[in-house]
Amino acid sequence: MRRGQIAPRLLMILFSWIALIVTIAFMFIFISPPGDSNAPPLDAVSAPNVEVTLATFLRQSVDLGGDKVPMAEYIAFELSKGRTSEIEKATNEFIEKTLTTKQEQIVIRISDGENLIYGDQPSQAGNIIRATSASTLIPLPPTGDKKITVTYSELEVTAIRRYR
Amino acid sequence: MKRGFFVFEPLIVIIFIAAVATASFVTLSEAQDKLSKPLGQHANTLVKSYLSAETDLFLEREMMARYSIEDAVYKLASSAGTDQISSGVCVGVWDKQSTLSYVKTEIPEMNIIADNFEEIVRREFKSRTQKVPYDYIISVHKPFIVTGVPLAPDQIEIPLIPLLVGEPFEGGILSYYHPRVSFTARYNYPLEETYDEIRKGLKKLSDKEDRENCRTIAPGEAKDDCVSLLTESFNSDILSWTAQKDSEKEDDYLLDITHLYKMPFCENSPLTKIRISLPTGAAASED
Repeated sequence: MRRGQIAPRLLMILFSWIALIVTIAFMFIFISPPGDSNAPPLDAVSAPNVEVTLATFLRQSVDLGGDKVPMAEYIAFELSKGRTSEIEKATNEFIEKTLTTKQEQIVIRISDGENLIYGDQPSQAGNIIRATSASTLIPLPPTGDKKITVTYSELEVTAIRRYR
Repeated sequence: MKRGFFVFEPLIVIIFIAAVATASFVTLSEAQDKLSKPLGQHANTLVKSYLSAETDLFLEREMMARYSIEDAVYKLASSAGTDQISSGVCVGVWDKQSTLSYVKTEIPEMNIIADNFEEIVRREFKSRTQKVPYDYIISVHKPFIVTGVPLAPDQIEIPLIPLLVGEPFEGGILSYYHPRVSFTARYNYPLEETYDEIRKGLKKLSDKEDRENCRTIAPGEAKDDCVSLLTESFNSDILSWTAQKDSEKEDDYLLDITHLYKMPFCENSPLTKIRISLPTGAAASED
């Protein structure tokens, strides 16, 4: 073997050892034990969006006479006073904050009472509306016999093609 | 160096790298299958189950708990911090104002008041809805915080992680979680300061050794005015005091102590009504 051929071959051997060490290092990095704080979060979790949104809506803290109370209690309080304007304001504020591109609607109904509909109210004419909904009951004081039903819906509106 | 070395040495290293890489990626893939997929599915099940329970069970129960706590503050006030059955009630739109009676009692120490409050909340909550017994952690300092911790698991069942389902444990086959979900309610009600002030005011009024209170004055209009003025001097940011002579019993005065804080859902303020006996006392005779 001539002298000029030795150096490249020695370099090749050197690089192959480096590659080996790097490979083993990667093996230790990727195979980390479960529960490792560096482990990536589980991205398989997917809760139904409407239930998450409804829970967030009713759990958010709002001010009631200087106290922070859940929105559920605030709704019960305002309805007991016969006031709907404050609920409408709080509900619309919440809907504006949600990041969904879908049309949203929150329907609040006291036992045997009328529906209070907030949020988007798409026109029924010419559209097919499919709703994904979640609802819950808020008991009213003192005994909880009367309840308020709160329903959150995401509406999918598809325009019907009209033929002339 | 021999020629064969330059041929076989890199070859061996490359084969070794390939073997290690293959083994590591196979192991990695198996680990992901074993860990990520079941955990991911399980986490999914946990979140869905919890959210369903949140809308079906937990929110409703927490609301009833909050109403119970708010009512209990009124009941505690009307019993002057004792565990006596009392008729104080948070007056909302659907409730009627109850008529409170005057109680003749001393204000207990704070730890006893906290215990009494816990007992009243337990009674109130149970009368409304409670199926699961709760223990309560009460912080009497402002903010007034009540945390309810369930003493027994709930009836909702969340399937265990698939890898563990069906594996035997001490009590049989482990297949479901039975969750316990606590709640916390916090208010700006200064409970401790309120009862401390009431205790202090009553002590001032009834202290036989105190020469500045009204016990040295003989029964009559002068004493009534004195008691009235003295109790008004107890007014503060958290309490409003009024006193009037009991027409039925000499030396007895009726104190209305209004707590100036209102619980969120209530239109009225908690009220403590105390009947106090102030006979013209020893301090005068000692002079």
